[in-house]
Amino acid sequence: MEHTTKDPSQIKGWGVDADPKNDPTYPMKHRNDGEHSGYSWERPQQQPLTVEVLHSNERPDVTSVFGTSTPPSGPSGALRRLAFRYSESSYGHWLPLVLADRVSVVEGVLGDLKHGHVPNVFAEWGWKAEWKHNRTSLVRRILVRAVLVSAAVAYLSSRRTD
Amino acid sequence: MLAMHYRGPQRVRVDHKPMPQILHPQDAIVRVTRSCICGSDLHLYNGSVPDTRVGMTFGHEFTGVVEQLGEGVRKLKVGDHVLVLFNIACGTCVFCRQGLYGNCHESNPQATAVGGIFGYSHTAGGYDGGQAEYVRVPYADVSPTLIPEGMDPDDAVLLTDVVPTGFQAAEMGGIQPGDTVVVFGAGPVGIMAARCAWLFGAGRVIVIDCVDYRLEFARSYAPCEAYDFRSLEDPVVFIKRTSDSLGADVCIDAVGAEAAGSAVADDPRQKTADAGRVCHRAALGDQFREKGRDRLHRRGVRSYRCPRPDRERGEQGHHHSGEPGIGKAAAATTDRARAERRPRSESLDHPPRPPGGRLGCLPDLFGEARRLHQAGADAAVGHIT
Repeated sequence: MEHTTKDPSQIKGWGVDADPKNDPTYPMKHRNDGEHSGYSWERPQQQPLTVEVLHSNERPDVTSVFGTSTPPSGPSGALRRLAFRYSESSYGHWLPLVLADRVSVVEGVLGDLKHGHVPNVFAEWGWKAEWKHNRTSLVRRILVRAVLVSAAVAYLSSRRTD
Repeated sequence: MLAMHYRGPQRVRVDHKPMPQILHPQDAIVRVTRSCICGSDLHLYNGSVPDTRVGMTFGHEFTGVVEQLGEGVRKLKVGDHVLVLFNIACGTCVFCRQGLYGNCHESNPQATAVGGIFGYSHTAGGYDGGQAEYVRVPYADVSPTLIPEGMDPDDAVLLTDVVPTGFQAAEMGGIQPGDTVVVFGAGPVGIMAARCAWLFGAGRVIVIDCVDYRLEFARSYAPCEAYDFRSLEDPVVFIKRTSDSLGADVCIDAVGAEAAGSAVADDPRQKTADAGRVCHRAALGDQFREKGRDRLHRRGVRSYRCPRPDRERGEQGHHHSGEPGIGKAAAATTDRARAERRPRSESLDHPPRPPGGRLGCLPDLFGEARRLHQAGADAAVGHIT
């Protein structure tokens, strides 16, 4: 419980940003009520739509600039298009997106194989580094998964023989 | 070019990608010189951010050299070495004009809750990020900042996210000279918040966490008092006792988004937020699931000073930030409420600005961080090998 900092003013930079006149520092919005006049700003030039870009149904159109990484495609793309029919306040938006993310993992593996590339999933999981720096946890995880998978296999095969 | 590829939860690889192109007159192509992995990249890595598509490149903290410019870019020239802030902002929309760059309305078509962020899923605009050889940087006149002469890129890259996040925590806390500041969580953001608390004239800075090496780093870097909450019988009682039974003036929550957002934590937060100044800045990391960290957050909100009957009217309101976020998309919410200052802090004069101003202390801040980090890294490597 010792108060160890006897004289904080000796710390380099102490108080350089102190400004008692600026309290509270929050809110830091420089309010100009621009929202009251809607889309009144001069919008930047529109980036050409060279790929499919989904946009939130809470806004009228795509933004002037957008990312073009990994446009929607395949079954996961269909799920994403469905998701964007619902607003950001709805599970109908977020849950299909999470599902689409999982579907696109499978599509990613299939895409790799189609291009003649067998993904080295152990390297992608970083098992070499885990083995070196985090061995106990890695071994524990592998064992837990092995037990779960064998239990599932045993359960399913016992049902089949019944 | 080579770039990091996301292949699925906890699966990434380095692979070839087409070179980024100028797609808009205000674009720049930047050759990356430094790039970081942020704690909030772990959310993407673990597959917990919706619309993180396979094939994305992460990375929102990077510096680089301008290789190519769109015809509309005025402030940069080819060859400039810039640090690129993680937000993508147009600088002209209604939010940017009010300083709310994190909620730019012209950079993220996929969501309205947040503006565009480099390499942070399609929920943040679908931009490929900086963990690559080259990056397309939109609105190059707004966010990229020239690295001042003499500043090492290793230091400059810290200014793209982690330093401002911690600094903003201290700034939003409204620290006044002489205040006692408690920072919960000694991750990178918490440590930076503790360091920056001094810049606002804090009288005392206390960091609480449960990871020894982080506490040790905070103790020598911030420099501050740092305590393991497991060794304290009751952290709330401890903080009250060590601050004349009144509680801290400012508490900064840098524990993590998951712990900060728990339903259990919400209730006491509502009850106690009007008793002090509250600033939540979430540092993200693998510790957030660690047992006790959500409790740590709850204790955080109970450690403020008690409200006093003589506080001014109009200062009691609990302001929940419904305004667009200024800072990080996934991490930050700010609850702020005020109580009046402790009498002893009012007796302190506003300290004079040292020569060189606020930027004058940056080299020290970075130099010390690197020295300590290297020492820690050497020790860790020695331990492993």
